[in-house]
Amino acid sequence: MKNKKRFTSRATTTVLAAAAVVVLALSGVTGARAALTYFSETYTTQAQMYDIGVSLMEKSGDAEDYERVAWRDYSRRGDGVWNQDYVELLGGIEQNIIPGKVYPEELAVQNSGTIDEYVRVTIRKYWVEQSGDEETGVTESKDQTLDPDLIDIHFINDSVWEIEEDTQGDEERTVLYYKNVLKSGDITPPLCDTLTVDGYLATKVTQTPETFTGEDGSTYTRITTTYDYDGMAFKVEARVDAIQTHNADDAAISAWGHNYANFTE
Amino acid sequence: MKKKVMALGCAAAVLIASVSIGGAWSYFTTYAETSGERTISLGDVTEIHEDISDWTKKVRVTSEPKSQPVYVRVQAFAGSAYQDLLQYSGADWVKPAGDDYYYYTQPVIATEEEEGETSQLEISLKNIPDSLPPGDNDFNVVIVYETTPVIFGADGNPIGYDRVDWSQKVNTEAEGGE
Repeated sequence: MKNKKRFTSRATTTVLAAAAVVVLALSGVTGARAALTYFSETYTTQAQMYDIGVSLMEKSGDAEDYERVAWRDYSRRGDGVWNQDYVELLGGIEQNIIPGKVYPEELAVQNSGTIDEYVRVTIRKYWVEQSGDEETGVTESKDQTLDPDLIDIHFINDSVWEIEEDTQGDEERTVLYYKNVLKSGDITPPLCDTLTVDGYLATKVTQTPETFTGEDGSTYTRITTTYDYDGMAFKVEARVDAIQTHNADDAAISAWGHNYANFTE
Repeated sequence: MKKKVMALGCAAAVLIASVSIGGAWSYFTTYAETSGERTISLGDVTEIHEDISDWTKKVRVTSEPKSQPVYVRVQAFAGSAYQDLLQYSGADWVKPAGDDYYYYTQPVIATEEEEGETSQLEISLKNIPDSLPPGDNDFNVVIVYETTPVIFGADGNPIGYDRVDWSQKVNTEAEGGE
């Protein structure tokens, strides 16, 4: 067997090691994502942390101001913690809603981070069937026999909110892209203004006539009408996604699989 | 010595190879989500209330708390001999030309806790002739009332009683009386 000589030269090994250290040092520069900001002549400096954050804002019912209903912000302390929470949507709308009645419902997005971002909002709306009671526990399942379009969320401001046309066969879902860069602290114009359940639901009835005689012998006839959709429930889900504006095209593809709105840096 | 040289060489190879890892980028992204749910409330429970005195029926219609807003219309039947003697009066009650019903022009709106009600409609027998036809002069005045769901327009306000579809009656009750 031929015995090969390896690394016989100490000089070669030393050169290789030195080259490796240099290459490593150069490549490590990209990991430091802090920028120096000069504030004054005294050369005081501050490390500006790049923290992304986004909040879904809602103005529901009679509310005059926006309320933050869902948020997820990277901790300003840079400790890897996300500040996140949510409250229920539709908070300003009465529990039992009336078909045909128009309820004010505005949704918008606020940039609650420290870097600019692009955002999109995904709305899902669907019917749910409830079974059981409070004692035994109420369970819910999605009812796909009713058309989600009977739940009308009136989208507005289409000059800045672009609706993704291809629903990919999912009629429950609407995706809206905010066309502009959302700067830190800014809030978008509302993407919708009202919520209405189609009055058609109030026309589907079953009538039951009853005839009976009162104490004085007079005859009473009562026709009781039962609404087929009384007690049906619907659900609205809202999700906001945010990506960095730097390398936005790659970021959109990485996060969403495509860059529908052609976000660019 | 040979081991040291080998270790240095391997470390160098690993470091050089690791440079290519830089191709795997990550991006700043985040998301937030929430949901809300509401129930469709349809249906109402309405009731007619009658007080009878001095040849007059004082009628009002109430709807139980949590009932859907409704419009109400009322008609009285007194038999052919007395039908034309009936007279109606009440605030917000109107009788359109060519229609046999009296309509309450305001929607009857119940809240979560309180019932809704119409104003009072008085239905009177006036100018009863002194000489009634021979035979049995007992008669009934039957009040029929109907309700239909209030429909809301695009502006969020209820459309008028004269524009709703009265074929969508939700409750009909005929009640006997004196």
